[in-house]
Amino acid sequence: MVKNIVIPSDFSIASLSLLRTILDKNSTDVSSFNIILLRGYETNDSITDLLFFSKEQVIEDLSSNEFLESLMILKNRFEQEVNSIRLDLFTGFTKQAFEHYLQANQVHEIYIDSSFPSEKTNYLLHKFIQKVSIPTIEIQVIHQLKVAYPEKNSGILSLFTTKKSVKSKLI
Amino acid sequence: MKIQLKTTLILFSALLFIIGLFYFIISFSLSNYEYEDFYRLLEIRAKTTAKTEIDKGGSYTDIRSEFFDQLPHERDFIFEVSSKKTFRFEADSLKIPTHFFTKIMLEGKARFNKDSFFYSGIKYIQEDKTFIVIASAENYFDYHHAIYLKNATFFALVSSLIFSIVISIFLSKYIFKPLTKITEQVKLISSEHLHLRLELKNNNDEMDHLAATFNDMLNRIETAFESQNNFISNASHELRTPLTSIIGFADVSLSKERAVDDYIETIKIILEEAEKLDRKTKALLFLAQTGFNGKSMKFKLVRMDQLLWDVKETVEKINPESQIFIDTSLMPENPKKLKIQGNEQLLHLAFSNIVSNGCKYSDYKTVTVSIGVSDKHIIIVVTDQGIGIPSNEMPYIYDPFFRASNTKNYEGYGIGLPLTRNIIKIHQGQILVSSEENQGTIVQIKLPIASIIQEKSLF
Repeated sequence: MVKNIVIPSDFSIASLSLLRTILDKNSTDVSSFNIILLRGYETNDSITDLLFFSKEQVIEDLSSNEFLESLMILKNRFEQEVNSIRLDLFTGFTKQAFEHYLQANQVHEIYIDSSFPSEKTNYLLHKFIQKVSIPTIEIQVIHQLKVAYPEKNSGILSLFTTKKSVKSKLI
Repeated sequence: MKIQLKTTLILFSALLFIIGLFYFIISFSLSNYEYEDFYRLLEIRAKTTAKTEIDKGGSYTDIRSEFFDQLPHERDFIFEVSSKKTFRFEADSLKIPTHFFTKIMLEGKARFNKDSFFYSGIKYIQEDKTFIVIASAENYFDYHHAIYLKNATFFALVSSLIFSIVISIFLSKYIFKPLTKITEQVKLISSEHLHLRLELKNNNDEMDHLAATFNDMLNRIETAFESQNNFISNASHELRTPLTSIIGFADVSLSKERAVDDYIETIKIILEEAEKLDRKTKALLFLAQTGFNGKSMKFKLVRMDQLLWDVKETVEKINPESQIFIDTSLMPENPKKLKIQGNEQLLHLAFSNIVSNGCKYSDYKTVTVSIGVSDKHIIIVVTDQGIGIPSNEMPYIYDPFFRASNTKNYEGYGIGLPLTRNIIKIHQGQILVSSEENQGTIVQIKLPIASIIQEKSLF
């Protein structure tokens, strides 16, 4: 079956470790995923900003080339499991709006990474995720650097040089 | 200097032509226009004169002179025409040709000018008498303004020509400056300084293409040079070791009489070492093939994961203590994405260099080789836990024969990394080295995928 899932992300490479873990540990009953990497975004109130608001532009500004490249690496690795990946912004500010968003995209599950403090990991979405109606799976991804010098670990290298172990639970 | 001079002259003559054309068109049309205007003016005067003098008999003369501007040297003539007259008398008195008069009789009006005096004549019929009325004046405009205008435009012409010369010279100098710069830079590059490259401004213009092509050529030449050096150093070292054993064993056996078994044993060892020597010679010949290939390098499809397994085998064969782990956790499932266009031997050389360096400088701790594929590149990351590279020496690691200060306890010739970088460059790839002293080194190599297969796109 095809599952639509949402993963809160700030479009940084560190947030991809959750995605990688999900795809790695996927059991055989899910044939493929449609993945939405979602980031909460507060739009400005001024009229000019609202008039000229472009989601694509904001996403382009927030995501780096290295992030997109890492995304492609993961997509190529898990070609079978990944049906599609896209980046999206959630610009609402009520729980109902979030529920509608999930309904419109027919999302089955949300995954969150509990190894970060909740505000940081859920990137402005944490206040909605607690009370949402669809199942939320919490995965604790422990980052263990294989190489002991983290400053050199920026960019795509961090995808290759960190090892992860997981504990998951359903909330 | 010649092409530069040619450019200057071409530019200057083009500007000269354009400005000259401009000047002549303006002067010409100006003259034409002013004549037309003045003639019309005189015609009106002739008609008015005819009306006031002939019709009204001179009663309006005062009004006329009050309201009409006085043209310079204005004179009006009225002639009565009788059928048998020729116009010889009138023509001579005014010093204008007779065809002027005949034209008036035939067409009703005519024009004539001599120097700056203009004549306009009309035929006027009153009751049964025919008159010829001629108004004449000096063309004020022609006399004053036109001369001024001609002078002004001529001055403009000359000064723009001077500017054109200056601009042409500067422009040609500016265009050819990068060319002279490239010539100077190339002079510095010789066989001792083959690692120097031309500066690229990355603005994608023709000079940049030239510099980039030069750099490519230098890459190829340098690789060839360094492969050669590498081969010679490796050859002498690798061949010496088994030969030393053979000589040693043979010497010892011959030093005194021994039992037959001892001789058999010694000969066995000599055979083993000779076979080792044979294998090493084969390996070195293979090395030579990659460096000395006189014909152009042929690229074909190379599968990177297979290459990495081969590299692991090679390095382990050369040094059995090596521990190499190939991490396939991010390797794509589709094998088509693992192919690149390249020369297998050169790539094998490049990667074995990196991997064996990792093993050597970490005293044979585990070296991890990871591979992953993004949309356009294959990314290979080699991680070791060795002595690392001091950060102040990082800019020099690609210099031939450079060895970092902490490598005193390790053997090496300082040729591997520059050779590897050149090989990667030839394959349009990139190499990035990051390191922390005493912690380890990470080498990231990016190579473009051979076929960009249009599959499901990301968005």
